[in-house]
Amino acid sequence: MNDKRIVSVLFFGFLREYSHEGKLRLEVPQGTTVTELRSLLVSEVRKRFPAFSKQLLLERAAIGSHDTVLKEEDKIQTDMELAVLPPVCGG
Amino acid sequence: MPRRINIAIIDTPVSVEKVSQEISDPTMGGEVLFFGSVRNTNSGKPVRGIYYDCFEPLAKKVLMEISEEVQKEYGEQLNISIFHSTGYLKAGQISVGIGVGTHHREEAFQACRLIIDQIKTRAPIWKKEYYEDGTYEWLGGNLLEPGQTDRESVFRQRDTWEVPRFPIDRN
Repeated sequence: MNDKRIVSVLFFGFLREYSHEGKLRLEVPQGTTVTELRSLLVSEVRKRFPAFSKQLLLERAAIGSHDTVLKEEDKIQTDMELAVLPPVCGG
Repeated sequence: MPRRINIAIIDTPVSVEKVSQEISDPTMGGEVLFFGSVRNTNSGKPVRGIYYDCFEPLAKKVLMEISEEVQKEYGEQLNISIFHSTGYLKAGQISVGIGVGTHHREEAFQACRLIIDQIKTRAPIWKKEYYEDGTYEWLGGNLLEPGQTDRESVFRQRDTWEVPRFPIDRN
């Protein structure tokens, strides 16, 4: 049984510039939490953009679904389209 | 019966008329409109325009939650209309419009103020500011956290407001 799953993560704000077309597809183990997903994203971005200098902001960015800002202990579901949400400034 | 709530994320500048139309109601005695537009300077630097980035499904959900929280706080008789733009807007164009209609002016003013303050701290929207010298910058903002949608956070913020006191001219 395959215990890995593909999740799609959208990048917004300044983080768009550290993704291709604002999106990243990532293979994650089943049961991955939001905290673990964020660590994987940091590794992936650093791998793709070695000059990435804003790691702290990515480490503090929220992870959201279409419905809510996820809690750190929430587990990632395969059917979720997720988004990395750096500090917001609407209006 | 709860009154109207209208939420719109649009890819054009906000129309004053449309925000106003959405709350228009002959039974309402007070209507407050707020518009935020792209300033032509920031910290002394001439601004050409702003690109608004938005995670639309969550933004719509958050704007609806804010509206429902405000209705719970000030009464379900409120009509609320919120428009927010995405994409590139030139300096001077309107990026956000809020309309609140209710029976009395005081709750209309307060509700409108609460909505714009909550949008700024909770809506998943980002600004990329373009300057006249050809440079640009993504603006900083407020960190999102789970659970920001609870009513407690709304009340905490409202309690920190300073209520302006105006002398009353009775003549």
